[in-house]
Amino acid sequence: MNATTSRAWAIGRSAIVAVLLIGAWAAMPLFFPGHTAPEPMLRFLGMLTGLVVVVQANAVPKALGPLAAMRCNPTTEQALRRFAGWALLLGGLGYAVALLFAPLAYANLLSGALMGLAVLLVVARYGYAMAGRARAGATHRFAIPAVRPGSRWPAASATDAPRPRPGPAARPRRPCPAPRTRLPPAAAQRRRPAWCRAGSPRAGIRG
Amino acid sequence: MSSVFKALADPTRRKVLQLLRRGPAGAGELAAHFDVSKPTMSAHFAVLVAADLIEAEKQGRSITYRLKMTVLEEALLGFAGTFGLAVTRKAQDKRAARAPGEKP
Repeated sequence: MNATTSRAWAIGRSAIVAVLLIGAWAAMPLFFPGHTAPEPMLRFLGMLTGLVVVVQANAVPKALGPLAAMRCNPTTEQALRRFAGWALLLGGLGYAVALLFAPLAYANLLSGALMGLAVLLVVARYGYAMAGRARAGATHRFAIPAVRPGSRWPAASATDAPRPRPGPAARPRRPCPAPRTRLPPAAAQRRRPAWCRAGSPRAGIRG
Repeated sequence: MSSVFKALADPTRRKVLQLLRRGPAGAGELAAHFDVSKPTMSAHFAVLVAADLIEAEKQGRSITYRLKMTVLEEALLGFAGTFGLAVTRKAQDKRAARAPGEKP
């Protein structure tokens, strides 16, 4: 199963679970017409909804796309996924526990507040990342901090940034080496082969 | 699930996972944090990949590793780190308390 198929399967599975849950909540008045559903049924369905959120949130950090296809900073993307996973998992757990144990009069309010807080935190964290991108003036979806020395990926903080290396213009230029002096005429004559030395009887005769 | 427990049982592999929490990193960059040979590090990486806790992506001649843990696996890593550290300290304390000439 390749990445596209597995992603499509995951989306389809989540959609099926969501439809089943919404259907169960919607079908409640049909089964209990005229009066509210019994408390255990409400608590069970609420707990089930919370557990579905827990299961889905648990898998959020594990769903990764290929690095080459990623348009944003992988470090920020990973941090966002981890944060979203933890926040939604705790929110879902709080939702399930509140609907299971809190008095029914307050259970809906409490569970909704917990889940809403988790979603708000995720949105705020995403907004913070987007604001960082705007501050950095990046063209990517997220801000890209400075590159850590020895790493191909950007560092988590700007304190890890390497010192700027002097460019060619700032680098001090070495003094040019002195031009090679020409050999004195006598030495130059000695270095020349016999057949081309001036005044030699063999001048111009090779062999 | 047993492969996850096996992967988390080793302190070196736990340290690798903790390093990868900061973000994706190359094999050489990760190996530089440990005083072990590169083949040993490769074996550790292979165990982590087999447990599906990290993902290796080859780009040209370099391999980039990144974290691929669910939230519960990460919580398990935290527990393993805490209890592993406690066990190590206990063993170290026992060793330190022993007399130098005493047999272990």
